Amino acid sequence: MELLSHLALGFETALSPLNLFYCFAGVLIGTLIGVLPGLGPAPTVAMLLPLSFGLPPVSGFIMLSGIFYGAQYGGSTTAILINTPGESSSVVTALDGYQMAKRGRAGEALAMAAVGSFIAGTISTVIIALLAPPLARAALLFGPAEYFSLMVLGLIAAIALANGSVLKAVAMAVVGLLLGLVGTDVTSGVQRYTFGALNLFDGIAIVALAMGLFSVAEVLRNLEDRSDKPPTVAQISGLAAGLSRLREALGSILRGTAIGSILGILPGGGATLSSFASYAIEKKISKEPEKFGTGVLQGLTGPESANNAGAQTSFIPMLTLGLPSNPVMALMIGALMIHGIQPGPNVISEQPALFWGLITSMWIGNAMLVILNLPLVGLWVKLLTFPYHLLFPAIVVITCIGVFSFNNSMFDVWMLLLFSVIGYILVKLRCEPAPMLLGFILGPMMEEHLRRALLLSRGNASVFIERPISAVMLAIAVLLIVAPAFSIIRARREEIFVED
Amino acid sequence: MNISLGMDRLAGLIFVAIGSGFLWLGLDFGFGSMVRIGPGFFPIILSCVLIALGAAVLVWSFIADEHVSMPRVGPIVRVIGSMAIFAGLMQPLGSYLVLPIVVVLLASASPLFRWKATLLLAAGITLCSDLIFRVALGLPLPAIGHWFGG
Repeated sequence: MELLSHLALGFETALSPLNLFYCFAGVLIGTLIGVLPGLGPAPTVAMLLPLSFGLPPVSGFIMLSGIFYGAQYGGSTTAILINTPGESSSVVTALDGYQMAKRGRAGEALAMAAVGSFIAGTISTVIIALLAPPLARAALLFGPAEYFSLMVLGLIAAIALANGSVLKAVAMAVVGLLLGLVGTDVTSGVQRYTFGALNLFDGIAIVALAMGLFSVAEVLRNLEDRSDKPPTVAQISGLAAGLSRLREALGSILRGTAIGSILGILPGGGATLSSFASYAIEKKISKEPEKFGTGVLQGLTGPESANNAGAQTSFIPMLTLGLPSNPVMALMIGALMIHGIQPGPNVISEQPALFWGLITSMWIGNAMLVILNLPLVGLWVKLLTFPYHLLFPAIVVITCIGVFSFNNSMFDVWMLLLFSVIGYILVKLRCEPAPMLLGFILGPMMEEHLRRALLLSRGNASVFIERPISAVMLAIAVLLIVAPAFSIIRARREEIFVED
Repeated sequence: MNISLGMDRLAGLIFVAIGSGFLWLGLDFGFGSMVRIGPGFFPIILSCVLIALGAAVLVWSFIADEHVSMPRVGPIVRVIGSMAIFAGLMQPLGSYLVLPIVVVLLASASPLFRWKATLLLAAGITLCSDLIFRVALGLPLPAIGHWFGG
């Protein structure tokens, strides 16, 4: 069994004392920061990214992913207890979770969310282990034309499945692609958009871009519309009693896991879409759908499992194709490249310890989350009532120091300032910053594949539609853009008819 | 105060402006040929796509648009200003002076600003960051800046 030997390698890596420690540290810090008001997984990972640079790649990665799913978990705790979902994937958790908490079933909600997430995490870990290697082998057959089309599709899919205006999101992705090109062109050595600034020769620092767009812009937005009154926290009791209802919830947990695992693999699917889809399905098959929104257990455990499974399987396109499906995965790719590892199908064969160690550490980390969170829930409650007006100065200072530490360069802090302003303006204009970060990561790779594809086809641009796999991927990308456009037009027509 | 500025109108204009800027600079890089694309090839194509998308957003804004809500200038200026102080004055003044100034300026962006709590917070952040980042991690963040002989 090839799989068993791979998993053995994984456990050997993940269970080494050092990596076990970093896994624990990641999960703990991730939950800690994820619980704090106004900090979701993306800003948390962006803020803590520099911490991982001093570590060996495997340990750094294990810690970063721990931070990611820890923060995701912390977000659900906040959603259940004070009805403020930290990020979009916890919105659904708050629907029935907070209602349960209000009705004195907070302990049950927290316990079941934790158990559901753990089951989902376990199953999706196995799915990654089974699916990633064949996918990577298939991807090795891709030529540059296929890769270029795959990246176009990945970018478009990430945009199409997000909310908001598709047109603006595509434009944002293109801005990101252009920003990704800043620096020295590797092929010709030409300086592009550097204005002669030495600090830009290696391109824009990803931490400055990511933290400006996600951490500081978020602070600015919060300062604008936050009514800073201390939240009311639901009383927690009956943690253990909640576990006895596992049998009732098990069906929804498994359904949620299945939905999450499938949607998580799709670029742009990930956690958010999975939790919404799972909630819709649980409501549809429930015998009492009218009770949803008043504290139905399945309405919590389904989406919560789906969101965890989706978060885990979104690692698959990142690790096998080098394709980020959400901002966190974009940051992970950035971190890989800083460690000198080119993300793509070769990661599994060239860095087996990294790949399998990371996967098994996810499972270990999920187990740690359950063990850690149920006893520590009292501490999290104290944290989530921490007043925001004392928290955000610390966030901004840590962000500045974090960006500075990246290259020990104040120039990067000035860039952070610039991207904070840009990020704020974008939020004001309802332009999603996520496509810009994805584009920023993909820009140089897309250019390289485009260059190679054209070189191989002797300058024949039709190569992208003559090769079948590439053509199919581009066709799907076009469909993804066009289909919602039609539905918007239809919706508007109906609106007009209604007004008549 | 009501400014009649459409959200998409402004976004479209910004996209067109960014695209034009990148295009104008990109023209100098060398377009190359289809077989061997030059350093300007991809930027020029992307800039043109961006200008087209910006124009489309602009056109759409005449069909349906929402107004931009007025930004609250005070908090933004304070947050951005504090980052500028961090970047500009860290080396000359040192973290013992810069971090308290930055924290106080930041905290004053919130309507719940209180001197006592803020000063405690400033002292805490300064001390912790000095211990963690300078002493433990060895970052070159001077405790006392070169204006004071540090």
